[in-house]
Amino acid sequence: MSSDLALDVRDLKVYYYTYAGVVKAVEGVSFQLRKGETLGLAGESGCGKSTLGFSLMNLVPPPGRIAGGSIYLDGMDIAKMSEEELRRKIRWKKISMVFQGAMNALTPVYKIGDQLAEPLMVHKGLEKNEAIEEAKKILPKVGLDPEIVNRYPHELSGGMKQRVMIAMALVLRPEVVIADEPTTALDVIVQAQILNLLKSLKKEFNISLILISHDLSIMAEVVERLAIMYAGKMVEIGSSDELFADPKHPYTQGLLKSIPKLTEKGLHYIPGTPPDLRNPPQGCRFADRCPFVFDKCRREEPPMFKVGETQYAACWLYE
Amino acid sequence: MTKEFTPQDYVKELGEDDLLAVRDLVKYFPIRRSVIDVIARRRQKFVRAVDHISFDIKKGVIFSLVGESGCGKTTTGMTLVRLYDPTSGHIFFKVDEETRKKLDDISGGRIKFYDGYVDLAQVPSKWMKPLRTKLQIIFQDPYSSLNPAYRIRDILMEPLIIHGIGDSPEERYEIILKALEAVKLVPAEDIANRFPHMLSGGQRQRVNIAKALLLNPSFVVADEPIAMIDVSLRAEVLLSILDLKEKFGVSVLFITHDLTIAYNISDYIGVMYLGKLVELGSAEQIIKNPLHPYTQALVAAIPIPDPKRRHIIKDIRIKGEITSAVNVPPGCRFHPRCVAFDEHPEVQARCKAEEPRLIEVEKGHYVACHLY
Repeated sequence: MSSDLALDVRDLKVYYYTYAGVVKAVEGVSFQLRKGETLGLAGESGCGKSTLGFSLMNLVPPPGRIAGGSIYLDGMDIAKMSEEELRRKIRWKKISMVFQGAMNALTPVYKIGDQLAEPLMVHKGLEKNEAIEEAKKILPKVGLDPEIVNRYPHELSGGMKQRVMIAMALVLRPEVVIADEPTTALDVIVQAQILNLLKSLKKEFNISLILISHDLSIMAEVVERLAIMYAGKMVEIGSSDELFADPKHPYTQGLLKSIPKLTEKGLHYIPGTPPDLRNPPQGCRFADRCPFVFDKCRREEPPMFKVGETQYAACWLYE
Repeated sequence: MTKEFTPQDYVKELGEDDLLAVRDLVKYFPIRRSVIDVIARRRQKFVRAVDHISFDIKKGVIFSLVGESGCGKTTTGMTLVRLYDPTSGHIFFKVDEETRKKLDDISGGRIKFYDGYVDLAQVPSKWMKPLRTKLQIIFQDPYSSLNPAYRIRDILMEPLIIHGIGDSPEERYEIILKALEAVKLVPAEDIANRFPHMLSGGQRQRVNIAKALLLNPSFVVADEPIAMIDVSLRAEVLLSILDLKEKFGVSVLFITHDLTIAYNISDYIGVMYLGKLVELGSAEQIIKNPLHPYTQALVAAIPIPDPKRRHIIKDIRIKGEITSAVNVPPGCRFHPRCVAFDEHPEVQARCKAEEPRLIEVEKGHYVACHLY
């Protein structure tokens, strides 16, 4: 593994073992995250993007688990580590996460300072007052008054809580931060402020950022490289300049067309619905909704083809 | 304030094509007082969710209400269809002869009409039934607004039975199939026999639109109908809402926080802040030429799907966060967050003392700000 990679994910499979059957939420996904890069994972609900995010910390909620593949970080395979090792070496130290719905991610009964201090006490062995001092230092970086260490979560607004979550993800200076829909429950103005914050923190802390979102407009404003997921598969990946200018996969094309714009009026959608992941169809998973579908699509699953300078698409059109 | 205005005066000003006219509408929610508050005789506090707003909705248009959460846009929508009783103010609503007759029958002629308009704010709940068919609402969450134990057919049958539409079950079923086809849920027979869990979010929301359409309404409130729908399917729902207007001549109050969507779907946009309308105009005017400092911040915050802007840190000209609707700042409610307030010391005294009223700045474009 070359040293400029922060993460190297190979053929990752994450399944949920439910009573109704095995849900193949992530099926053979491979990608690399370079150091200092911002990568976007986009797709609709149920496409596996959040599951993929959780699996990068080996934190898939049961009944889900990593069923195959590997995630390399500094030469170690996260997918095969024990819980104990993960806790000690990886989670929060190397990879941290800003969870979806900041409103509910903080414990309502502890003060902000205590919650920020906990990872410092556990991982760095600091005394509590030292840890709180340390926490006070990081709060201004996310645009908060250090004095809020004495407040409880219910005293803060949604935007402030999200900033606390971001501070918490950064407190141990990890190399990789995963932000899972960090602005979903927030208002437009707060959303723009949080995105501004992520952009400036990325530079300051030199982190590699994975941004998970369904909103391609947000992606365009933040990420350098973008991966599009559909029904558990990565269907296209490339630099956002290339991908937005010339999307190759029919799903990406449809998705980009579906974003309402201010420059031109018009409403477009992709007819049909995503397949059931318990019983994914043979061949390309997008075949049923694809305007360019032909025989081979329904028979064989397409591999990734190189379609541009940095761009790859899983579609038989580019064989 | 125009206190001496009577309903007749208001109605006289309305045009031929106005369907709904809101005048000075107020909805306050009382906050529960503790025993100590009562003993200490502390004043009853209110959440001033909607605080003296006025606007008109013409026939067959889509009017969007936009603003941050907590600005009162949903409360306005719920009050207009009388799911909340207004605290004060008027909602003039044009009714046809048939509804008028039904209202006369049910109330024994005690409901007042002003030149073909009825004031929804004054109709007691027990006499609302004939009006309910004309006023419909589509809720935000299509996953909880359809009863999971009923087939789509039965869900849609209920309003028809309640309002006595159709003479036989067969006839009602025909009406249901037509409504499903109108929102492009085809094959209608197949959809009608399904349960809600067998449909996607977008399809469920279109069932809700069909349900609103069944009773032949003239006004529909759509409260964030696509917030929970997948991106690739949103347009499908929006197109059905556009059909409401274009094919059925229904007026829609579209509530959203997404200005891009408001721009794409609506004829007019009203911007709300802390229970007040701060700006009102055509979709074009609001998005391309926002005048109120708050609208300007909202428009600046819209994410643009263009990767070339990725290195820009956006300049969003607003301070702090939305304050609570209980302790509303005096004067202009926006002044504590307003950047223009800092830049224009000459108006500061007015901003702090006097609540700005909506002023027509250009034709059809109103703004409530002392700068204009």
